[in-house]
Amino acid sequence: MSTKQQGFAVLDAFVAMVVFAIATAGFSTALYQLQASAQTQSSRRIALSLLDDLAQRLLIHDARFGSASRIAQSPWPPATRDLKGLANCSATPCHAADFAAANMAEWATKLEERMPTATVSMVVVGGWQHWVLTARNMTFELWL
Amino acid sequence: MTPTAENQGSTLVGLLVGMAIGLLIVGLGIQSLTHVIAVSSRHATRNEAAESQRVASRFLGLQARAAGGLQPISLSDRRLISPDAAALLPTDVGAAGAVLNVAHPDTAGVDALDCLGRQKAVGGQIQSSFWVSGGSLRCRPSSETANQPLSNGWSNLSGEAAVATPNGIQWVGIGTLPTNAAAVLGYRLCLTATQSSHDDSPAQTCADVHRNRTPWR
Repeated sequence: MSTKQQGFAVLDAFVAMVVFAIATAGFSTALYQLQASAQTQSSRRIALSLLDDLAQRLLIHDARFGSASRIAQSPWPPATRDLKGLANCSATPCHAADFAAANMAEWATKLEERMPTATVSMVVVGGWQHWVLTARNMTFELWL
Repeated sequence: MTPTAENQGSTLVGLLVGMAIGLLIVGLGIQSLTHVIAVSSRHATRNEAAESQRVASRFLGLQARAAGGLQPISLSDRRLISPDAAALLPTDVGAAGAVLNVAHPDTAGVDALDCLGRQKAVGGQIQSSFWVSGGSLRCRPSSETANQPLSNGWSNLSGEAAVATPNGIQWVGIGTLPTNAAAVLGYRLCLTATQSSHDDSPAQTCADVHRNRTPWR
């Protein structure tokens, strides 16, 4: 056989495989980053939505019972997350403690459903509640 | 003709191996492409649902938060929401679920706008109605006869109002507000999606909306 019909050398095949592997790895990395970015955006959107919902709930408490009542009656974590034993405030009006308990239990349930891996903390600083929600290495704060 | 060394071509084994490798590569490519298309489709659907939710929340939230909120409201002041407002607003709109009627006194200033962003008062009030029909969240200012679709992909609107009473707070359905429901502290509005757009998209989106106003006394 002459040198013109030798076919591919092992080196050629190896180079082709390396090129193919690099291309595949690059494609996979791009795909992974795309997915990770989308998940991060989704988590950010959900976290902000949850914190906004929390703020609205607490402000409704404020509007009727005042900030001091809200701070005293809305601890975190809530005393219970079981909604069955709590007043739903639909059949009869709720006083501050019942309203806050139901409010926080509902929000805690919502948090668990939408962001089960998120962690939430709250401390009272100078008459303000400082809420911190952490999810996917992102931190969101709410002062109220 | 006997093949010479120059034109003997490929062997059957060579062809088979080449075809197998080619098929493998094409298979992997198709699989990757399918995956990318599926992910892209999911992202597009999710973004569309999220955008739809954002638009709905923005319109409902702006109106509900600002309803009558620029003036102190007493328990006898019923200008804020239905049923007074309902007298000037549509009652039979083929709504799936409830109709949310929101009104602002037209003396509330430049911040009081109807759901189309205008200041057209009727009967001393700037009023808007929201409801879901035909898969869309729709709004109609009382100054208009036609409605405007705001956001698509919804099958139902429901909600409750947090009403201040001497004994505390009571949640009351927005369709059955009592006549002394002036002291509405906020709303809990729920939009039900036509179909769940993605595994992590809830079929129903509910949010509490606090109404900006002087605290009830």
